[in-house]
Amino acid sequence: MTKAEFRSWLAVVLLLAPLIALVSSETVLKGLLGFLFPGTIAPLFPRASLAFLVGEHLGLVVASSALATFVGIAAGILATRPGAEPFAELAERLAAVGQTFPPAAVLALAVPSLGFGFAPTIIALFLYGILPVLRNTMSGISVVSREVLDAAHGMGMGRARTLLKIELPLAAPLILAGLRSSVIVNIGTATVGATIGAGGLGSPIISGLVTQNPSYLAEGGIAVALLALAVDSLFAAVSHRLSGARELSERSTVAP
Amino acid sequence: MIRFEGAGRSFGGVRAVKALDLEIGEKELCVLVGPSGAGKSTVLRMINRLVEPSEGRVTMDGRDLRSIDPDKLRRGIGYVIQGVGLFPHLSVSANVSVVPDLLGWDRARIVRRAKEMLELVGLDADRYGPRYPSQLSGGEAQRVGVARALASDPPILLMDEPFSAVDPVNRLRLQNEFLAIQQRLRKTVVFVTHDVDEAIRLADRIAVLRAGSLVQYDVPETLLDRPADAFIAGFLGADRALKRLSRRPIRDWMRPAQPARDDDDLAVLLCGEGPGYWWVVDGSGRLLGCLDRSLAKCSDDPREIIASQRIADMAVDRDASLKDALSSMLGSSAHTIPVVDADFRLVGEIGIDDIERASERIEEPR
Repeated sequence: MTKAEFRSWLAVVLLLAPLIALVSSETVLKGLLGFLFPGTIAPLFPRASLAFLVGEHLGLVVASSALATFVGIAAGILATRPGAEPFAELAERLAAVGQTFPPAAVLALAVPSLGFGFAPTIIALFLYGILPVLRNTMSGISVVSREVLDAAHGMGMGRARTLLKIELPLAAPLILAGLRSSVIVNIGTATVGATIGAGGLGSPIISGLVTQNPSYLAEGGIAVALLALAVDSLFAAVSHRLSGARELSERSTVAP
Repeated sequence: MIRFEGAGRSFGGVRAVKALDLEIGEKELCVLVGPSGAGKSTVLRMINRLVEPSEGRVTMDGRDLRSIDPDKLRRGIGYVIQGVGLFPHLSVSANVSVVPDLLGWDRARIVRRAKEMLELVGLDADRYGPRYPSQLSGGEAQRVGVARALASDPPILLMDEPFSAVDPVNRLRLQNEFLAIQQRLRKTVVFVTHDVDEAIRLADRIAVLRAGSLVQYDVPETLLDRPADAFIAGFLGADRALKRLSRRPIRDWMRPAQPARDDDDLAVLLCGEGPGYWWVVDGSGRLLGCLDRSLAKCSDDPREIIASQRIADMAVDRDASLKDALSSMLGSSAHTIPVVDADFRLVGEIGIDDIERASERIEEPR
């Protein structure tokens, strides 16, 4: 394990530990909120436990990110096939439009057709998260050098094999980076889903805003922040592991 | 045997290769040479169907290439390119194993073969196998490229300017190593270069291309002796006479030499009657030096004279060319120099008059 990878795993543990403590023990949560906002009579969001809210939130993020990842990578692969240049431009432009729309606007537009709740929120998050994945898949594949592709074809690898064994592995670090920013942004953005009843950690935040209860706000906000930071460190650790494996073997053979 | 039958290729209305007729013999090293834009690479890439002819056809042992599945065809043809194109995420041995892997060889055989190939190109398999391409020098990467192309033991090898990105010293080394490999393996090689010297050094047969057409196809000696037109003569360069010498091996032109043993009475040789110079060898025939009576006095100590000489500077290898011999002569200002084998054993001598004899008049093209 490289130093950088170790640091990332350490960060994951250090960020997850307080989150788990808050989620698993109401006493700890109550203590923290009571300390932050002394004098609040009911510091805890009453409608659902923090554990339930975190679960709901993760459900939103995982569903939308899985969809965005799948569609983003698939579209990125299609757009980089020879002869697909016009499609590449179209795909990127559509994805850019998806990100330009504020999620709140997407939600507002989605409600009439999909109703309230989970589905429209997932659609909004999916549209919002697809661009980084798509763009990084495209650039990751397109930076594979012509010589490498020429060699692969000339050796009789065929298109599918070249994609699976050469292009995707070489693009993997960039694709992972795209996935990372997509997921992190979605963890934050998913809070908006609470406005149309999708639940999640947005619920105490919205409720805190409406009832002017800063303790509710903090309950949701702190949990979202810890969750986003922990997941980000998790991605950092995995990407260090991916690139570290090669660096490590390089170092061990270069040394005399 | 590879045959181009009126094979041509146009790219967007431009005819890169014009109705080419060319026959590449089995186990021959055929070099396609010509200025850039002559269509050399296009011709090469028609052989593994990376480029399809838009007119005519290409056949291999009588079969139209179009009747062979391109991926299957390519797995049977080694391919080396200028930028090497090693896969950066795979180790050296994994790179070398790609085609055997595609052919479904079993694991043990692939591992054995990768090792064998790395050793063949002069790389220590245990040291280089686990490395990644980014850790190789240009010359090492190119060697791995050759090892990878030869891994499945294909009968045909296509090489597209494989050594042109390497510095001149390493290029010469790679060329000589490749020639040695070719002498052992006897592949049908099609080699593209724009470097005339490289073509002459390597080729069994040279095809000169210009603007998509074949202008001359001959063995290098004939090409140098009788270039078909002024363009080819110009392309071969003004030092054609020297280049011809580079195709003539010393061993074919050297004369037997009379050695003196170092346990003979060297002082007598130095002062007595007889030839003007003696090559002095040790008990196993290894060259020690030269006693030249025009350069030494009778009173000189012959052993001291010999000890002061540097054999490596004065002798030439019997596998070297007459051009190398001439260069050695000019460098040491000697009319006659000793010829040795790889162990520095004296095998003959060669003089400036032998070189004159070897280089008959070169005909100028009309």
